[in-house]
Amino acid sequence: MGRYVRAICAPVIGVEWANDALLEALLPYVRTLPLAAPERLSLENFVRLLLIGWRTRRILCPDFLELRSFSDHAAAFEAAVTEAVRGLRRELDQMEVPAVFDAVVAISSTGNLLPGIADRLAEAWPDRIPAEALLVDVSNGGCTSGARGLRLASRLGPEYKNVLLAVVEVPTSLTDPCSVDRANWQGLCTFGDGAAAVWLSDEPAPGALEVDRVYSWHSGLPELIRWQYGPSYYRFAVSDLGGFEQKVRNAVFAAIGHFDWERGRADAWALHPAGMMLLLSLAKKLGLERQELEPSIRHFRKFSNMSGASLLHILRDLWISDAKELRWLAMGAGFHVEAGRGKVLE
Amino acid sequence: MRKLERETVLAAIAGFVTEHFPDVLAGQIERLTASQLIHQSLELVEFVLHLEDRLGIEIDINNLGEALITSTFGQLADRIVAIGNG
Repeated sequence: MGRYVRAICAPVIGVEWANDALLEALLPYVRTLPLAAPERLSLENFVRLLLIGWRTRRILCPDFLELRSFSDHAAAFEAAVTEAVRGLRRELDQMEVPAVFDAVVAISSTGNLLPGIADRLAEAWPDRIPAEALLVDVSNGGCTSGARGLRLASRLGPEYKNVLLAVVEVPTSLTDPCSVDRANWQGLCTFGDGAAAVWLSDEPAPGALEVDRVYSWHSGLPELIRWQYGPSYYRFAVSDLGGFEQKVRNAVFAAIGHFDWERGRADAWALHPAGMMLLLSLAKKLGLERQELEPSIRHFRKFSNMSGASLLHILRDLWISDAKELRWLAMGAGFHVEAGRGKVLE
Repeated sequence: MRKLERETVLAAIAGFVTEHFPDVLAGQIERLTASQLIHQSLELVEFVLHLEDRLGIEIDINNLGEALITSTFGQLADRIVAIGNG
């Protein structure tokens, strides 16, 4: 059974923060960390390096630098999800979507809620999501969560004719400006918040994106990217910051070796924007021209790394351009690599 | 494996600088910091990828860390020699 992406909703939500504003907000926290002066200066310069140049991100937690207790963080996540669900519904309402969705797959790796996000979407949109719909939340996919969700949603059985995939990622709800851990600061400077939704149908239509092939590879390296436990919440951590980029690059190249890519067919690529270095070095290894990388770079400059939501935003941008053959590649915690290809129907 | 020499690294740095910042005099390069010339992360990454290409080594930006923007190109060359010679 074929699956066809009939709509991608990529709302721009939250408040825009540019690198210079974020740096200005972060420095007072860095300067009061319990570190010896040389270490503190070193961390400050590291943060300056991470925020060099022009880049923005969207932030859904207004008080993200003041979250000190578990309930602060959890409530910030819940409030952000509420805003994201509102933003998704607002944009979906303006799109051509089916009368009813038979299933809702909701995804987040940056928090947990009960009732879940799928239930909240059903609550917010009762005219489109009936009481008998399959509602399921999928957690902990990290930066590959959107691509994993796309794979899952595109492989559901024929009784689910219209599936809504919704991704809401709120990395800023994890913010801990009192931590001296460098990886925590790298996460803070790299990520932004975001949400996206995809309508997948079993019916083709002119202009629909047919999900042709999907690939995934679990590489081991479970410690490479993970949540660490801070005093009140969990936070972003990596096992070997100094060798992180090289390990990620090597793991991605090893994974790609297991996929039967056919070179030269794709018109357009969506690469998960893990960071500028990874984007450029992966593109080089994949033999991509700078022009092919531009949509992913453009997304990273505007939204930074929205974790699992980024890939769907980039796919939407490619889809509404003239591209006919699309490829996607995402990498993240696990260590996991997820990829796929699709073609736009005439 | 051939030993990486400081002069080789400096020549690779100079190659990037003279191509992207033609107004910089060759004799000044070693005393400048990357942050005096490079103001965007994309350019900084291109600089590191240029060094990887020219020197045939892998450089992890996190390993260089803030030295990328606080060290002079001369000091950076010393760090890269140490990385390249493992």
